[in-house]
Amino acid sequence: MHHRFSISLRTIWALTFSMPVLFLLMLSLAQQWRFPDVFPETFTLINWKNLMQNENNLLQSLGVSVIISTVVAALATSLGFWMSRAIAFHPRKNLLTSFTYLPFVFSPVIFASVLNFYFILFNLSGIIFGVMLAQLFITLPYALLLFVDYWDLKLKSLEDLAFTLGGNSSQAFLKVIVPVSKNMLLLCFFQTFLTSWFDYGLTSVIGVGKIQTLTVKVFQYIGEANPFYAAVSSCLLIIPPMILLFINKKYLFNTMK
Amino acid sequence: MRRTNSLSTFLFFLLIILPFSAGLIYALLYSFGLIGILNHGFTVVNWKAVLSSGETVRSFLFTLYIGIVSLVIAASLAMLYIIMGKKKQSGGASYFIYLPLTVPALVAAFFTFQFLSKSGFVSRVLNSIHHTNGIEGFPDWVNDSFGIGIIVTHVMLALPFFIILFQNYYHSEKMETLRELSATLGSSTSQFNRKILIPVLLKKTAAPLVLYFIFILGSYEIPLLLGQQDPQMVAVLVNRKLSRFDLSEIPQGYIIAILYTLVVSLLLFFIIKLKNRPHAPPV
Repeated sequence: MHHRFSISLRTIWALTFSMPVLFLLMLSLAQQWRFPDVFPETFTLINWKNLMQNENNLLQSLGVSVIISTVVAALATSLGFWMSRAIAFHPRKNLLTSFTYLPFVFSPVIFASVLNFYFILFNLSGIIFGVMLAQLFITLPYALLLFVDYWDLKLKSLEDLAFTLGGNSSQAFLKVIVPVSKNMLLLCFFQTFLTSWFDYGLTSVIGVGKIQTLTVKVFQYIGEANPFYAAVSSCLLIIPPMILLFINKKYLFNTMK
Repeated sequence: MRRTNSLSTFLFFLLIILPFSAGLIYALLYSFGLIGILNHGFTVVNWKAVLSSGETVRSFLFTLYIGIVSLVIAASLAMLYIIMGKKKQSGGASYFIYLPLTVPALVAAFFTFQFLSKSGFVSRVLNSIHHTNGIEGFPDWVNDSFGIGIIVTHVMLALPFFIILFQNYYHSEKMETLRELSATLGSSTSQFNRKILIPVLLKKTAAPLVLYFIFILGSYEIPLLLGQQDPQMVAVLVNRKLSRFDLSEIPQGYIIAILYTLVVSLLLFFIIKLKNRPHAPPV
């Protein structure tokens, strides 16, 4: 009896947490959903088909989002890891770490708003590179904060050992430190990828509507009062992190110590 | 190695310190009328206008209210989950708890709108079982003056994060051993929960909790979709003032951004103090 109770409780729990995903999936398959109806009258793939056709550019938005997030995550992770070494062993480590928190003092959209002038001045507004740079201003400090505590005496001793065995500094870094830090690097890559993937505020201000990532599309469809198209775009936004979660949840949430 | 270090330090200044300082200086100069299209030299008129405006005060109070209420509800529910049931994530069911973490804030807000608005899913279900009478019978849960929709969405996004955070510390702080010890010494379960479990977990997670609080304060997409016209959360108000056709409101937008920065800096100072104390939790 107790066993059955615990199974049903678990089902309720699982349903509660998967509700947003299931609901959005349902909405993406609906075409009409008039008020008193609890569920849409018919379910169809027409929204998905329409949006996958060229004139709607949703696939293009998916591509833009993938490119921006991959480049930003790769840059933030590699630069962050490389720079964190200098900070971790800097005599003023605590002060520099405190400075790393500075970009988080602004909310991302406020940060984008106060920087917008410079982006316009240097012709970086409304182009993909500008959006990537703006996102790097948020993801790089995040990567630095993640890595700065990762450098410890053990890692430093490994590096010293490589030197003792005749390796130079780039060999020690690329052939010893990077391979042993693979898991931490992957964690950082996925977390910064998601930060970029989920971003709407920075992209909408710096991209001035020209850089149509998936989040910008979702907002556009909501503005056009088309919840079904917004639901399709939302599903596209959720699927990659879900796959990532399925492959390995530890990359989605920092449980590594 | 020294060359690498100085290049790292240079990049640190270029990509972290410079953008922040440049943004803040631009906002300050604009707010005092020293730059900008309609400005004609130093003035404190804009500052006076913002500091005496009810809209700014309401916006800051509303933002704090949303932050505190969302944080307290999410942390309490997560703590309840730890006390009542699962102390660690295992088995297939654990997959589901991570699911809300895959939902971007904008999509979560869109979901809440479709779920809790007057014509949303909950309203339709209640209408079909004759609990409410049509659209008008359903209360305002989105775009309402209490920010219910905003709070619900923040709690939905924060809850799995807090549960996993508390579970991690439950194990790293050896709470199971402490539970057995306190039972041996004659304390009841409720005494253990009140005097040991809750204080220890809250103290250990203080820094990440305050960081999450800052994240809620700065949220944009959720109040943009689910908030009302006045009061607005700070990030929405700043962006509205900066992107308006009325250029005279732009300095005010920058002033509110500066004030927000001051408030959050104080909170961050508190986190850094927490982090730098001995035996601090990793943030």
